[in-house]
Amino acid sequence: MTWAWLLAPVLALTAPARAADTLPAPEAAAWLQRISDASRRLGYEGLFVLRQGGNTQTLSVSGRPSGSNMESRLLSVDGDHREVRCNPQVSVTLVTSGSQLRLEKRLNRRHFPDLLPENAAPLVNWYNVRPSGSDRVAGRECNNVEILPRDVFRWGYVLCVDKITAFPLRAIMVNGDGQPLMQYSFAEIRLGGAPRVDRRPMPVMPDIPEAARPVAHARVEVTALPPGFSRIAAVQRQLANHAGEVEHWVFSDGLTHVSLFLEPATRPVETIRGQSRQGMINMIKRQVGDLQATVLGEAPWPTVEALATSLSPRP
Amino acid sequence: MMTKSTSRDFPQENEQEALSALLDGELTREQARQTLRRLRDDADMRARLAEYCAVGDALRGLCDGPVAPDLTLRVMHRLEREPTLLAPMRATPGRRPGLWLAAAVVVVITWGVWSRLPEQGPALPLAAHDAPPMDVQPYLAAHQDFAQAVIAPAEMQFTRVSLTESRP
Repeated sequence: MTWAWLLAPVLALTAPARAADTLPAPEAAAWLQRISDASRRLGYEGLFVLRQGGNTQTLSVSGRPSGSNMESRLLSVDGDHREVRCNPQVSVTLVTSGSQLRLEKRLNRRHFPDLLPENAAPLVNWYNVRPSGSDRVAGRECNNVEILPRDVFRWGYVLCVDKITAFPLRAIMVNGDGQPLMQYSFAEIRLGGAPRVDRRPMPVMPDIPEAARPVAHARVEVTALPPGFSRIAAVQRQLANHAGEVEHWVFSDGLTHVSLFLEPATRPVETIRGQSRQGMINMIKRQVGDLQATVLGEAPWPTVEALATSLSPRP
Repeated sequence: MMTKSTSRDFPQENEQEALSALLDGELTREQARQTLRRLRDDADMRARLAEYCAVGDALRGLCDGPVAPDLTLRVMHRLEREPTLLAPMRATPGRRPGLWLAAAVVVVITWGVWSRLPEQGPALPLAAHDAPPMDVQPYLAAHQDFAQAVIAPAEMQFTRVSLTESRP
C-alpha cells in the first residue's frame, strides 16, 4: 500500500478534465460571499500546515469577531518565531531569530483563512467557480470549491470549505494547469465559540517608524492593467533590510495581488526577470525614467509583464 | 517521580490508556515525551496507535477511511528522523500534546502527498539563467502585507530579458 489513497483526492482535483459544471454567476457569487463571510465572522482556533515550494511550516492561528472586524493571531510553531497579530486598529509582525527581535507594522490585516475579499461577488467576473465533491479536513466534512481563472492573469484556488459553516479548511493555490503551487490545510480546528485570545496589549516600540504614508505625487503612470486589476494601495515606506524609502503600490483583482516598488535608480538598471522555482512568484526589475521599478507577486508572468510594460515616467 | 497533574495517572503498564491520554492531550509534557519514546521503541504500541487511528476519533479524521496498514509505521519512522517536529512538546505548559502530534502527522502526510505530486520544472530555460542573483526578500516581505502574511524564503531564478521581445 502506498500513499496512493492519499493522493487520489488531490489528483482528482487537479486533473485537466473536470466533470463538475461551472456554477452560474449568481450562484457562484453567493458561494464566494458565504465563504468570505465565514472566514471573517466566525471565531476559530487551530493549527494549519503551509506548504510552499520546498518549505513546510506549521502555524497556530486564532481569530474572533470584533465588531465588524476580526482580532487574530498567527504564530509559527517551527523554525524562527514569527507572529502576526491583528486587531481592527493595527496589524504587526514580530520575528525572533536568535536573540534578534524585529517588529514591523503590516499594511493589511488579512491572512489565511481570510483569503477572499470582503466583497467577493465581483470575483466571478474573472474566475469560474465550481463544486468538485467533498472531503474531510481536520476532522470536519467539507465541500471542495474550485475557483479557477478565466484567463492567464491569475492563479486559482481549490478550497475545501466546512459543510456547515463554509469556513475554509484547506486552500490549494493552483496554476492554469491545475497543478498545486501552495497549500494551506488545517490539522486541528475549533470553530465557533470563544477562542482563547491573547489578552496582551499590542506591542508598541517607539523607535519603530510609521509603516507608511500615502504617496503624495505619483512619479510613474500605469497606462494599462490586466483585466479586473485595480490599484488598492500606494504608500511611501521603508523595507526591512533595505536602504532608503520606496514607493509601494499594490494592484489586485481581489484574490491575486501584485506589488510595484519604485525607488531612485542609482545606476543604470538592467531589466531582470525572476521566477520562483515552481513558478508561483514572478518578478521583474526595470528602469522607468530615473526610477528602478520592481514588480513582484504571486501571480503568473503575463500579469507581472503586463504591469511592468505599462509603466511610463510621469512629468 | 511522576506528576499527577492530569485527571489520568500516567500508566507505565497500561499503554492503551497512555495512548488515549496522549491523543486526547491529557498528558503532561514529560508524560507525553515518555509515551512518544515508548512509541518509538515499541512496535506493538505503534500497531495499537494504528488501530486507534483507524477508529478515526483521535486524530480528527487524519486517519479516516481505509488506513494503510503501514501508514502509522511510516509516520513514526518519519518522526524518528524528524526530531524537530517534536520540538513543540517543549513549548509552554498547558499546550496540548495531542495537538502537536496531530500537527506532526499532518506535516508528514503533507510532505508525502506533495513529494509524489508532479514537480513543475523551472519555466525558464537553463541557458537563460545568466543574471546575477538579486535580493528579493525585502520586496517579498513587504508584499506579504497584502498576500499570505507568511514568508518562505523564495528560491528565485533570474535572467536578463528584453521586455519588448518578451511581450506576447
